[in-house]
Amino acid sequence: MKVLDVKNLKKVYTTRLGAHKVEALKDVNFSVEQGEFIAIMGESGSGKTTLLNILAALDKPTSGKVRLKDVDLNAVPERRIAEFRRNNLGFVFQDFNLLDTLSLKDNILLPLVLAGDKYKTMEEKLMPLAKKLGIAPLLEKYPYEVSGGQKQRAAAARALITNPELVLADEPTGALDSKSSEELLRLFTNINKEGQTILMVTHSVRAASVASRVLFIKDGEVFHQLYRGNAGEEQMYQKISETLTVLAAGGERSA
Amino acid sequence: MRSSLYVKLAKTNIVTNRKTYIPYIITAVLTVAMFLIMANLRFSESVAGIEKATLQMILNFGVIIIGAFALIFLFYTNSFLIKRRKKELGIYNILGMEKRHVRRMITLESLFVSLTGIVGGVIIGLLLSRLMYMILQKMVRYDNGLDFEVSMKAIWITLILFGGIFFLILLANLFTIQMTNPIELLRGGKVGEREPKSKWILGAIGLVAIAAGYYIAVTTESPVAALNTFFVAVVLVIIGTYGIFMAGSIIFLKLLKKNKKFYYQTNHFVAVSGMIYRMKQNAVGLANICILSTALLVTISTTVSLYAGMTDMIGHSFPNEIQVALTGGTDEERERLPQRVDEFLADKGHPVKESSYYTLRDTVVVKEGGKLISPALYGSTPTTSQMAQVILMTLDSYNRNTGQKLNLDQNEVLLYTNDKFTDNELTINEQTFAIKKQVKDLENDINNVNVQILEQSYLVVFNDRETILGVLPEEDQDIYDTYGVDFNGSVSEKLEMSESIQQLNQEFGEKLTFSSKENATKMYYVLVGGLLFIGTYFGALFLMATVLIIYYKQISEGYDDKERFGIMKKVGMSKREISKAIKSQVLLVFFLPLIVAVVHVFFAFPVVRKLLAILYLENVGIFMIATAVTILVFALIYCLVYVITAREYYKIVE
Repeated sequence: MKVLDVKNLKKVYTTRLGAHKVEALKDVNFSVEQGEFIAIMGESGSGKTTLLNILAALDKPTSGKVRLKDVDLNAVPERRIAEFRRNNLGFVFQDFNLLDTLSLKDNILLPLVLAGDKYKTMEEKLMPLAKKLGIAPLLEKYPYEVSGGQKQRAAAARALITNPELVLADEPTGALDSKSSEELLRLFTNINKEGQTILMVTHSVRAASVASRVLFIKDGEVFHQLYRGNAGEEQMYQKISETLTVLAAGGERSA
Repeated sequence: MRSSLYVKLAKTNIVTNRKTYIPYIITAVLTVAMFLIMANLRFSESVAGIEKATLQMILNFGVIIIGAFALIFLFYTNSFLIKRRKKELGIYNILGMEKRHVRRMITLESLFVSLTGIVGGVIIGLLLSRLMYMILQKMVRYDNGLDFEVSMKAIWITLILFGGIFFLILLANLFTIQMTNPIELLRGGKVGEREPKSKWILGAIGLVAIAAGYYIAVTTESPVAALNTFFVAVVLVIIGTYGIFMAGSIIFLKLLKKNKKFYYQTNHFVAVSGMIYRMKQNAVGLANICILSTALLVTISTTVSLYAGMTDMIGHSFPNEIQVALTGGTDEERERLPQRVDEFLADKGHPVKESSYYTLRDTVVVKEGGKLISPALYGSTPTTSQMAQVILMTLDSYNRNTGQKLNLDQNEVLLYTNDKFTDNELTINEQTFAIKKQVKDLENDINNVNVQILEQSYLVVFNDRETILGVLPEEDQDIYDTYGVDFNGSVSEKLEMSESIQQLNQEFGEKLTFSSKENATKMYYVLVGGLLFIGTYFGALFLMATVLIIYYKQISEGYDDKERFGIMKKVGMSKREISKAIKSQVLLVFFLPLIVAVVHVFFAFPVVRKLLAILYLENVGIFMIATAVTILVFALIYCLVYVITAREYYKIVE
């Protein structure tokens, strides 16, 4: 079943006076099946962030369609968009984006509170998740009291607590040391195995190598994609590296 | 590095930080100007000509207060500025500027800001000085015909004071830069926000202090007692305000947070967690605003009431145009006094229209167990609540002024009192008198005598003078025979009469004392007008401070909130929810001090009313209107400030 379907996505930024146009996304097409773990790679300026913002409904495309499950994002009215986002999407950011005025627990519960859940159901959802992510003892702590890896796990918990259709992760390992990065990637692999669909934007070949499929974006288009198939993480790593080298050398389109 | 580069850097810094720099420079200019104006009035010869002692004392007070205020306030705004800029300074450091280079740059900036502040302030101050002089003249109703001149001494004092203040601020800034390392500078104000602890003790102290302050203010019954208790109440309420804002607010919010069902609801969650954070950062600032506002409201409403109720007050203290009191005179002198006064005035072409003649003694006694005792005969120090006012009057005076023909025996008295008194005997200094009649209402005529300064006041009418002398202690036998007259004439004629009538003293062996309504009016206007001038002047100053504190608060919070609300948006909060949350928090933080200040004023009202009663301002209506209008005007200005600063805030957050 398709969770996400992106068709002919185009985004053009115009400078304020309309004198200058920048085409961030030219023509992006891809779809994500239920339970997939997609990594999107590309150089800086390739349009990754723009794509993610549009998928997150934080930005609107110039033309083209994004369907999440059966809903066309364009058709969701402005005043329902926040609600839609919080019910269907979970976010993990590079710089965690935890509120330093809230304890980890309250940070994780934030989407549920915004959704107006009962406190009892909140607790029921929180505890198993916190245990799974290994942050149960840290719940009463504040973001500045814990390490980067712990912060990112709390952020992941916040993304997962609503059981979203899709988790969007933007460079989730970008601000982490290698040990924390590994832990987080393990975590992502595990929750993916439990059926969670994940779409992750990353620079890191290591991070991308745990994904089931890797999309390469160049000049606003999906330039190439790699399926894991039966390959192990080592082999995947190898393949991604090679593709990137070809891409950097300005290789021909092959997907 | 070449020195021109520093100048360039300093200039760019001020321009790029204009959002915070311009208000700072404006504050500096205005503070300097306000100080200079006050100092100029204080040292100017033309003002000295008005009424040297009283007015100069008031202005002196003004100069000192504004000077102290300038020091504290400029330091406060500067600390805000430097906190904002830490990150920028850190970047310079990392880019390879050494600390001495940063020091040089900061020094240049400070030089520019302080020069602008001082020069601008002096110019504006000098321009406005003449206007202020004219306003002061109008308020004290005194025109000595002198033109206003500028006092060099005032300018020098201003230059030295503010030069000193800005120099100290520079030193403090250089010290901050010296003490911090680049990484800390880079992080700037952003050190992890720890959740504040509940300070139960401080909260309890605050609550108790404020309750005690309110209790004192509301329950103080006698005006004289109010003199003592008012100050205590003020101190208690100030302590209480800090306690409530700093600890009470956080305790309250944390209790809300503990209540999970309440806390984990969309609106409450964002509001409570946001407010905890805001209160932690702003408690002291908000308490300051609250206290400043209260001071402003009370000062202005009382001075305005005093000014507006002046005629009333003077009428009370001076029932007649001129009063002549004879102390220790002989029977013959007592007989002669009214005659001579009437003759004297008639001679001068101002025949007496109306007159009154009283023989009385006004004194304060100690009341114990239903007995009245002179303090001289009372062994220990009495408490305020024991004090009673007693007016001892002869039957003659009473009959003459009320138009009655009552008789009394030697051991009988007439009594009027506002105290609860049901005995049929009255004991004064161990002599007991039968009460022939207790007067329920004082007839209008007797109102010339001021009964009711204290909560317990007695008017006792005795058969004759000798009986009164017998009651008074031996070392204090003064009885005043007071003759008051009214006559027609212009203000200057009345003033002249009050001077020339003092010649009579020669005939009476210097036993006369004189008081004149017009003369008192003149003095009162200088005193109360001077107070009103200072009051409104401080009002303007406090208001400027309040506005600026609020502005800086909004701006700095805007920068912090921008990030927080950005995150909430990403997590799934709609724009509408966000702006609703922002609005309610900003409104609450903004108007909390005003609301608390109004509550303070409300509780201060009874005790201030009592204080005003000492000055014979008994017209509650005037005071009520003055207070209401002051609050209204202040609230309006406050709202205006809110609208303007809120716009800046929203610009930043969005």
